[in-house]
Order: sequence, then structure tokens, then C-alpha cells
Amino acid sequence: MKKNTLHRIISLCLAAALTISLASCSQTSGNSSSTDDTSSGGTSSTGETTEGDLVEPSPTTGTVNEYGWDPPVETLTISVYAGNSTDQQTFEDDAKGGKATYDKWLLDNMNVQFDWHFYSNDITEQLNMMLASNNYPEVITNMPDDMANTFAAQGRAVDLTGYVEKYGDNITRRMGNYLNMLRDDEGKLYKLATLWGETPNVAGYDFGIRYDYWLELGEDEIYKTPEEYYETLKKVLANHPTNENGDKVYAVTATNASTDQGMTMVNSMLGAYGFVNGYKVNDDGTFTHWINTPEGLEIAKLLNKMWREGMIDPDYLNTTYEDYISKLSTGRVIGNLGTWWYAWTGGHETWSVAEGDDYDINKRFMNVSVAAPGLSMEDTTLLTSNFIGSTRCIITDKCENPADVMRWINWENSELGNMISGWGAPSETNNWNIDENGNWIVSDDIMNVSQKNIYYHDTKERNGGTIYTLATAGGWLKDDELSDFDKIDPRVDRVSIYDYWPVDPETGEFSDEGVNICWKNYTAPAFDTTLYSVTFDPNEPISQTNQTIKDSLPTYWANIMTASSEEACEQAFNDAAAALNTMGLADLEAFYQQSYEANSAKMAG
Amino acid sequence: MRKKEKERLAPYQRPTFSGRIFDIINIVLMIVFSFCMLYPFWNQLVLSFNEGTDALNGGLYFWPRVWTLSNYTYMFENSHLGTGAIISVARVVVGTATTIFCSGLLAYVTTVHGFSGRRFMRVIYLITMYFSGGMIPTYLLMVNLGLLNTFTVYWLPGLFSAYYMMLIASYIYSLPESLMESARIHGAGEMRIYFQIILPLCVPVLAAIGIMAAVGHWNSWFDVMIYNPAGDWDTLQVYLRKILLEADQPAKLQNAQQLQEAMRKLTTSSVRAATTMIVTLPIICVYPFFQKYFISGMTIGAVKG
Amino acid sequence: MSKQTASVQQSSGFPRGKFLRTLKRERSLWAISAIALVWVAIFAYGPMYGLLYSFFDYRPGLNLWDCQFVGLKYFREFFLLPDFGKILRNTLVISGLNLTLGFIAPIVFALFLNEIHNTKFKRTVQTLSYMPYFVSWVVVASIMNTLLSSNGTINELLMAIGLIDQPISYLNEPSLFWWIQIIASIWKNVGWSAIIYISAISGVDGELYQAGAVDGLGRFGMAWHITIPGILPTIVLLFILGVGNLLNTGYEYQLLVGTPMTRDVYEVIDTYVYRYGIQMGRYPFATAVGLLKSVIGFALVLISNFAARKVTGMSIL
Repeated sequence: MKKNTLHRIISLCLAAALTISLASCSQTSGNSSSTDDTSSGGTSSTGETTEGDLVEPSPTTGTVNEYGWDPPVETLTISVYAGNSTDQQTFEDDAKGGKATYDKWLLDNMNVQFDWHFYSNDITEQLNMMLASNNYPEVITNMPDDMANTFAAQGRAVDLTGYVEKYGDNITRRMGNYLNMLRDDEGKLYKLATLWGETPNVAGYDFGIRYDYWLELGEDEIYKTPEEYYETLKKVLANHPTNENGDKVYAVTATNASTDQGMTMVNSMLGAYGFVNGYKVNDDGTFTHWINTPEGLEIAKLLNKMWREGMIDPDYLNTTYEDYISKLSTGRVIGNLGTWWYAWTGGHETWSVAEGDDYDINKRFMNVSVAAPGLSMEDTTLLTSNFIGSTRCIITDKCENPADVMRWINWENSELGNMISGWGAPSETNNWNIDENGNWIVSDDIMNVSQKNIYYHDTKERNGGTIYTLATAGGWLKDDELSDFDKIDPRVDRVSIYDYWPVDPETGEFSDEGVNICWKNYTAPAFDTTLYSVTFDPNEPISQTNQTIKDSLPTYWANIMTASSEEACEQAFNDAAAALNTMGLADLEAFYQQSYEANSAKMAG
Repeated sequence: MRKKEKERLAPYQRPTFSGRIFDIINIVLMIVFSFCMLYPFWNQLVLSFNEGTDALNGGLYFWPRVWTLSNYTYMFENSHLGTGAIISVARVVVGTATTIFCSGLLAYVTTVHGFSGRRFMRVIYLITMYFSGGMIPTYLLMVNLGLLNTFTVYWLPGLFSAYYMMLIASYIYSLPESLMESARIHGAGEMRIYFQIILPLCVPVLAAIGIMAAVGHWNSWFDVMIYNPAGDWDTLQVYLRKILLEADQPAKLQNAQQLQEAMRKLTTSSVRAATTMIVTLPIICVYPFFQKYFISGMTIGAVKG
Repeated sequence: MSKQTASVQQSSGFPRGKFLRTLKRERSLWAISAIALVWVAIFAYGPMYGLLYSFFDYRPGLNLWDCQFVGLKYFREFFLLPDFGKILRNTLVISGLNLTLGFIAPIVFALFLNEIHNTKFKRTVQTLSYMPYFVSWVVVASIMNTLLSSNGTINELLMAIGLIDQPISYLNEPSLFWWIQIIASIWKNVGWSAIIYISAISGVDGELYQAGAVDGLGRFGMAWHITIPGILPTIVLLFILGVGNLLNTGYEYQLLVGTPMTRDVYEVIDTYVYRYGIQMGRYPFATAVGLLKSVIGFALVLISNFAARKVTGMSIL
């Protein structure tokens, strides 16, 4: 009896399992064929969209509200996968209630709702799985450029050309010619820039130094060249061979991030020499990688001299970002050859909190720009700005009404929409509000820069700022011929969806004395690198060449910089050049040149 | 039980001189060993109880310098650790129980003396240890089976394990075949033999595998991340991973503004240490409960002989 | 001794004519097997069509048959890598160390632990031994940086006792990389890997020890003649399975601890596939290398299984 029951159970299980497996098989095949249908169908419909094929937007109330939006009659719901931006993850938890606040505001005032999809794994990996399973939301943003191209090539991204023309007046107006950069070879628009615009920063690659130590030297003028920077660092080190704890002090260090590994030092130097992305742009329009230039050798010799004289932290290859910050704040490193804001985070921002009232305003790092001998500050590429950024937003073929979404993105790109999506809805309790004259007034609390984290950033997070952007200006909300931001409170400048700087409206100087100290000697202007953007298709051989060289360069660089003598350094430099050239550096140089030429042609339209 | 063990050990453990020397050396060795094993963990514990900005200065070795509980309160206030913990525990319990039961059953089948399919089954499973279709086909399978955003996806794909099968089978081989034979002669069904003879005798190896499976389930995050996009079944590990990986951002984000924003919000190493503690302590506390079965296994071993 | 031979594979030959009779006699065993077979067919063999990706210019989102068949292109690409020799050498050295030192360490630990008679102490040590397994590599790497940096504990210690007069940058020293890696990996995994040996030791028949005592065996004698033979099936099993993983070194440690200075000795197959296959989304390449590793791994298992059967009379199949 018992045996029989067991048998029956087992056979039942078996039958069930078999059915499931069969069902899954048929489902698999069914699914893959349906994938085909949609993709081919998608190609034909989206590939040849003309004005007439555009979907009409859903009915609206017909009245534009105070925020410049004509709300739809029925709530518009947009599903979005927003890549792996950390903002998204933080707000998923909604710890500060910002998401809830903004959700409510959106529903009440705009009749729009977002359905966010979060994945914390690598975005390329996730997008590939989405492609394979034909399962993705209506909008994907924060995606790499090459993945946007892949979606477009498979007919999974909606052709936006007509929609942008018809509903995207803010986008076309404010982006100007830069919009052309996003078009494909046929002039069609499948992708938008997630965060575009000029960088609002004053500083970029930095030849920074401890300001209080520099003052001790009593020099009248700030150093102007890399060589002078080295000499100044040397003098400071002579005054401060060890820190308070007795640890040996170094001039500069680096981080072990895969994008750095000592390369940031070189890149900063190259910025002072006016190289773009590590390439020298010759007069005849050709590109030469720095390893093939005499300037590169000059830089190598200078950094090698610093290394041999014990000025560079020997642990520079094993230093994490946090170690870097801690080395700055504990006085173990007194210069900052690299990203400017590391010196802020590890410098006065740490000290002003830790030392409270005893904090001396001169105890800080100063960001400094230098130029190679014979070059003026205008020729440097220390501070660069890529107008179209590196991430993209697409509307996918899953979207039933692209016109609605485009209308929304266009609102986001209106001046007011830009500000709201960046800072949260204007209100008494937010960092900004709109007064009776329609001016955008910022709260007095945020005028104190040293308390930015508490007053500005916390308030912004409570109001849901920044996270709800699909594709808008992430850079400087600058009042220029394309955009109209003259309503912004004159007490703040360089406003972006992330940040702002309080200024004296009269003089235009930063109202915080410390900020002025930090930036008074950073005079390099922003260099527009948009035309130098490069996208590698991972399936093309050139991207492997690029990856191989990118992987090998830090190793060769380590050998060059840590060489035991100047002759050895030069030898290592030449060896590296020879080795990299056999890996196909010439192809890469040509590719960068071609990209530039193609970009220039595209931009012209 | 311990008494019995001592009695058993007594006759051949005469306290000779060299034996004592060895014991002392062994104990010293084990203490040094334990220190090496414990220290990094202790270091994390110290860090987790130290104030975040102060920890930046380094030099924390054996005791917190600026004592605080705020790292823990921060964690408990800022995330859904409670639900995450419940789901993690449910996953461990269900996942471990099912995989032990099923892999054990499979192992038993492959050890039945004279069963015509035993080698076939072993080879079929051994192959799966070395060949797999990769991430995308597996993902598609889960999608097509409708397992996305379900709890089932945590245990069903791990129901049978070739590795566990091998381990259990090698243990069953060391049991006297006569036990099973006589049961079979007395008319016991295979399931009955499995339940009444194999399972009790295999307790030590099942306990060891239980630990492995439990830890595997507790620690896994990749399947949670890709098969559970809605986040309804997020486990504790996912939170830990998010927090640990934040520090890796500089390598990933291209946009300088985004990077700066991300780094501004970077949790301190102290908070990360606190998260590590919250996520790892429970499973370490569970370990001794499994461990006792290794010892009891000895007694069973003695009885069966 | 009987236990060793117990695991010898016994050929189960049934004449073909008796097929149905056999099936009937073994129906309950086959019923259980059937469930296991259905599961393995769906969850393990079902996705294996993905191995075909390695022969096509597959891109996610496209139907496999719409992709161009490229034959062995991606396999060739792997063999023609400029650094192929170096990568293979590093892989073999690193996993070779793991398979020898890393394999013996947990056995030695289990044996020594077995000699401790105070149960509480024994349990405590065992619990502690397995803690590092839970500390993620990210944390381990940061601890290693602290210990081994130029002003780290190790350097200060060695300078204080006068063994060295200049701090050494251990993590940037190519000649030390493999040794530091194996030490770190043993430290992290020894307690964890020992679990299975400890449980196997507890299964060794207690009467054997009593018999051994009667024969006048000392403690080393007991360990050598009774404990080790008792757990030998487990050792052989794990060794054979381990051999199959000869080409799998993982990439986490390498990517976290490796630096440009040690790239020549840390670059292994897995780091390469991670960067050029997974990160760049080049699935055919990643699949091709994976398939190659699987075939070699599986062949190694069969060979070592055969060798083990010849030498020790034990086999896992």
C-alpha cells in the first residue's frame, strides 16, 4: 500500500515535470519567434518613420500650467530603467522620503507617474540580458553610447527624428548644433544625451598644493609650469618632511582605480601640454599618441625625477580612493596632481568639520592650473567639457506612445523643467522657490558653502531632486543665447542639477572666502572636447586594440616612471613606444582622427 | 557523550612525554592560527564601532578610538534590513533542506550496489560541473519558466548538485554495504532505506554539506540581482553588495559630475564594516549547531561498527 | 582497508536480454533517477545550447541562426593572443599552487585539529578557522594593503628587527605575487575546505583506533595508518574534482590586488575573459574560452580518475 502511494507520487511528479519541460520548450520557441516579429516589425516601422507615421500624443487638458506643462487627461505612466547610477539606488530606498514627495508632486501637478526599474548589476550585462529576453521598459537612460547604438541597430529604439522636430522644441533650441552629434549616419535621431551641457566646474585636472604650506614659502607669484610646480613641491617637502604622526610626507600620489593607476598624473601633465584625450592634435589634422611625442618624454622625465627624489608615494598603485582622501587629510600628501575635487574632499571639507571653530581658513588645498613652457593658459586642456556627455537615453519599441514621452522629455529640457527635475519642486521647504515676480529665489540656508551637505544636499534629497531626470541638461544652467536662465537668483552662479556656488552679485566673486582661495589660481578655461568623443563598438577589432593598449599602458608607465635613472627612464619610454606601436597604436591614432573628422562633419549638419 | 568519548580515547592516549610536548606545540599553533583567522574579522568589528570620519585617520588595530553605535543605527534606519533578513533566512532554510534531501537521494541512487544506472547518473551530473550554457541562456530559461520575481528561483535551480552528490556518495561508500543489503532482503523499499538507514548514518557529511549549502544560499547575490528585478525578494547580501561596491564607483562612472555626487554620498568604511558584520554574524553563529553533528557522527560510527 | 576498496567501481553488467526484467526490478530506483534526470535536463542541459554562441558572431537580442557562423574564429583569437603564453603560464602556476599547497593545507589543519582533545577549544578553533571565508575579497585586499604598504605593519616590523633597511613594496614585487596570493588564499579558505575533512574524520570507525592502540601505534602512527586512509576516498574525490578546475583561477583577487607592476604575473585566463569577454559584452569570445576550459577540465577529470583507479584502486565514476 505504502509502496503504491509512493509510486503514484513519483509518477505524478514525473508527469508534471515532463509537462513543465515541454511547456517551457514550446514557450522558448514561441518566444524567440515572437522576438523576431517584433524586431523585424520594429525595423520596418521605426526605420522609415516619416512625419505622417508619428503617433499622436494622448489627449491633454489643453491648458499649460504654471510649470509649463500641459497635463494629460489620463495619468501618463512611463516605465524606465535608469542604469546603475548610484542616485537611483539611494532613492529606491527612499530613506529621506524624496521619492514619495516628488511622486506626489508629479501626480498632483503634472499627472505623470514613473515606474522605475532598478538593477544593481553592470548596465551592459543587464542590457544584453534585456535584449536576449526581449524584455525591457519603455525608456532606458544612463546607458553607454554603444549600447544605444545596438538597440537602434536591432530596431528596438524608436526613431525620434520626427518626434524631436515636432515636440522637442526645447531640446533643439537649447542643444543647438550639438544635437547633430547624436544623429546616425543617415541623420536620424535614435538617442538623446542623458546629461548634456557645459561643465559648471571652475577646475579640472589640478596641480594642487597645500595653501598654508605655500604661504609659508612667501612667494609672490604662483607657479606657472609643471617644472615650477615640481620645484615648489620640493621646497614644501623640505619644510615638512614628516607629518604630525611622524609619517614620511610625499608630494603626490594616485589611486588604484582602473581608470587611474598612475595615469591620472600623466593625463594632468598632458592637459598642461594641450593634449586631447592623451593625443596631440597636429597642425595637419593628424593625431599622435603622447607616447610617440617628445612632450611625452619630457613629462616622463619630470615625473621620473620626482619619483627618484622620493616625492611620489611609493604606494601609489595600492591606494584606494578612500586612502587617497585620508592621505591628504592626515598630511601625508601635500600636493594633488589629478582630479581637483579630491583635494577639497580630503582637504578643507574634512578639516573644517573635524576642527570646528579652531579651523583656519588657510588650511586647505589650492587648485592651480599650469601650462607647459611656451603655451598660454588658453592652450591647455586641463579643464574639459563634453557637451553631450557619455551616456544616452532611448525610447524603446515597447513604448506605446513615444509622443507622450517626448513631450515629457521636452518639458524636462525647458528651463523650469530642468531646474525642477534637478532641484525638486519649488516650495517653502525646498532649497528654492518661485516668488511673486516669477523669480527663482534660493533659500538663505544654502548660502553657507561649508554647510552644503546639511542644508543643500539633504534638502534636495528630501525633495527628490536630480533622480527623475530622463535626458536633460546635467551641466551648467547657463544664461546664454540658447538658454534663458535669467530668473535664477543672482546670489548663486554655476548652477547645475547637482550643485551651485554662492556669489556676490555685485562683483561676481564667490561669496565664500575659502572658495576664492581655492580657485583664484585656476585660470585655465574650459576646453570643449565634444568633437573628440569616441565610441568603440565592442565587436570591431579596433576596440580590442584600444583595450589592449589601455591595459598595457599603466604597466609600461609604471616602468617608465619608476626607472632608476634618467637614461633608464628614456630607455623604458622608447621600449614602451615600440611595444605599443606593435600593438596597433597607429590604428588607434587613425581612429581618433577619423572620429574627430566624422564628428565635425556631423556637427555641421 | 563526551564522557563516553573520553573513555574511548583513554587506552591509546597514554600521556607520554613526547605526546605532551606535541599537545602543547599543537595548542600554541592553534592559538596563533586562530588569531590570524580572527584578526581581520575583529578589525572589521572595531571599525564598525568606530566613528566614521575618525576612522579615516587609520591606526585602528584592537579597540575603537571613538566609540559609537551610529554605524549600526544608520544601517537599521536606512534600509529594509528586516525584510531582507527574513527572506535570507527563508532562502537558507528552504534551499538547504531541499538540496540536502534531493542531492542525498541522488547520491544514494548512484551508490546502490548493482543498480544499472548508477554510472550513467554520475556521469550525467559530473558533466554539469564543467559545462554550462552561460548567463544568457540560463536567464532566458528562468524567464520562460516564469521564475522571475519568485521565491522559487532561489531553490529550484539548485535542487540537485553534482558536487554534493559526489561528497555524499563517497561517504555512503564508506558505510558497510551489508546494512543496505539486509534491509533490502527484509523487503524495505528504497525510500525507506534512504530515510531510515542512509540519512541517519550520513549525518556528519550532511551537516558539512548543510553548512556549505546554507552559506552558499546566504552569500549568493548574483541570482537575486538578475532574477529579482522587482526587488520584492531582496536578500541581505544585496544590501551588503550595494554598499561594498559603492566604493568602486570611480572606475565605473564616466560623468565627472555624477562621480562627484556618488563619492559625496559614499558611506564611510565604518558603515561598510557594520554592514559586513550584520550580514556575516548570523551565519557564523549558526555554524556551531551544525558542527556538533560532526562529533555525534563519531558515536554513530562507533555504534554501527 | 575495506573502506578503500569499497569505493572501487564495480561494473554492473546485466545481459541485454534481461533489460526489461532489470528495469522492473529497479523501478523505484529509476523513478527517483527520472526526477533527477528531468531536473538536470531542464536546468543544466537546457541552457547548454548557449555553447553554440562560441561558433557564431552572436549578439544578444538576435536569433542565433540569424548570426553569422564563424567556426573556430573565437577559439583562434584566444590562442593567438599576444600574451597567450604568459597568461597560460600564470594560470597554471597559480592554480598549481592552489592544487598543491592550497589542497594540502586544509587536510593538515583537519589532522592537527583532530589531535586536540578539549572539545570546547577544538570547536572554538574550528569556528574561528572559517571566519575569513566570510570576509569579502574587497575587505581582504584593503587589509593586505594596510599590512603590506611601505609604512605598513610588516615593513615596520622587519625594519625594527633590522632584517631590511628599506621598506619593500610587497604588492608591487612581481617575484612575490604568487606566494602572497597562495598565502592569502590558504588563509581565506583553509577552515572552509577543512569542514568536509573534519566531517570525514568524524566518520572514521572508532574501533579502528582501539585496534590501532592494541597494535601499539603512536599518535602519528594513528594519523598515518588510520585517519588518513579513512579519509582517503574524500581526498581522492576532491583532488580529482580539483584537477578539473585547473584552468579556473577566478579573477577577483587578481583584479583587486594586482597592480600594473605585477601584471606580467597576475594576468590569467579568467581576468582576460572578464575584461575582453564579459565587460565588453563579447559573448562568443567569453563562451569560446569557457567551452575550451570546460573540455580541458573534463578531460583532466577523466584522466586523473583513470590514474587514481590504476594507482589507488579508487575512482569517482
